[in-house]
Amino acid sequence: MKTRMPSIICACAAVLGAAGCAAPKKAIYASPQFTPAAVAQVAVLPIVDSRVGKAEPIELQKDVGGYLRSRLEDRGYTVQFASTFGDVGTVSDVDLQSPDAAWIRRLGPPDARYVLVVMLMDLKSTLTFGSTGNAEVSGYLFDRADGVMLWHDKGIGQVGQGGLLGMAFKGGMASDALRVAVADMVSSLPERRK
Amino acid sequence: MLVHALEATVGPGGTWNAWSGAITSSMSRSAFRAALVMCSSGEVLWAQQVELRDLPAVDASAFQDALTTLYASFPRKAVSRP
Repeated sequence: MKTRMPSIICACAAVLGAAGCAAPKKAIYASPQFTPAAVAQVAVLPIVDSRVGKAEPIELQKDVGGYLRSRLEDRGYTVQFASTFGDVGTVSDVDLQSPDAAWIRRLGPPDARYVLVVMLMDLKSTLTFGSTGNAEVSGYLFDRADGVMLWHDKGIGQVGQGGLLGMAFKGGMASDALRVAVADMVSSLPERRK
Repeated sequence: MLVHALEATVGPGGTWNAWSGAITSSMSRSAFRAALVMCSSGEVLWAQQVELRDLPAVDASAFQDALTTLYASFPRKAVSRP
C-alpha cells in the first residue's frame, strides 16, 4: 500500500493539472497578419439578426451590445458602436461567406479601420421539465484599410434549469444563453495587451 | 427556376446534470429554403424558409410538414377549366 500512494498522488495531480490547463478556444479563422496591439479601436456595426425563425423577441443592440462591449473591453479592445453598415448598405450571412477586398473596404464607417460584424444565428427558449435557452452568434473582424478578414469565430450558449425553479426562470433563459454565446465567441479573439 | 436548399446544423445535444438539476436542449436544427428565380433577370419572384428544431429523417412526419409549410405560400396558378 505504501508503494502505491505516490503513484496515486501523481495520477491525481496529472488529472487535476490537465483539467486546469484546458487549451484555450481556437478561432475558426485567425489571420497570421492579425496584430491585436495595432487595433486601436474596434467599430462594432449594428448587430445582424440572421435567424431563420424570429419567434424569440429580443432587442439586439440592448441585449447583445452592452455585454459584447464589456467582453471586448475585458480582452483589451476599445469599442465604438457604429450606427451604419457604410456603403455596403446591409449585411447578410451570404455577404460574409467569401467577402472580397473591395466589399470589405466599403464596410462600416469611413473613418473606422477595424470593424466587427456580429450576427445572431439562433436564439430560443424552451419550457420543458424546467426551461432551457440556446443561442448561437457569429463574429467577423475586418481590416478595412487592407481589405482583409482578421478573425472569425462562432459562439454557442446552452443554459437551463430543471424543475419548478427552472420553469419560473424561463423568461431569462434566452438572454442568459445569449451572454454565454457572446462570451464563448469573444474568448477566441486574441487578447490585446496595451 | 425553382431552387431548394436544406441546411442542417448539427449542434451539441441536450444534457441533464443530476447533481445540479441543470438541463440543456439540443442545438441541432434544419432550415428548409426555396426560391423561385427568373433566370433572365436574376429576380427572385418568391422565397420562403422554414426552420425545424430537429434533424428529421426523410420519412418523418416533421419533414413532410416542413415541406408543406414551405410551399404553403407559393402562388397558385390560375387554371381555366373548360
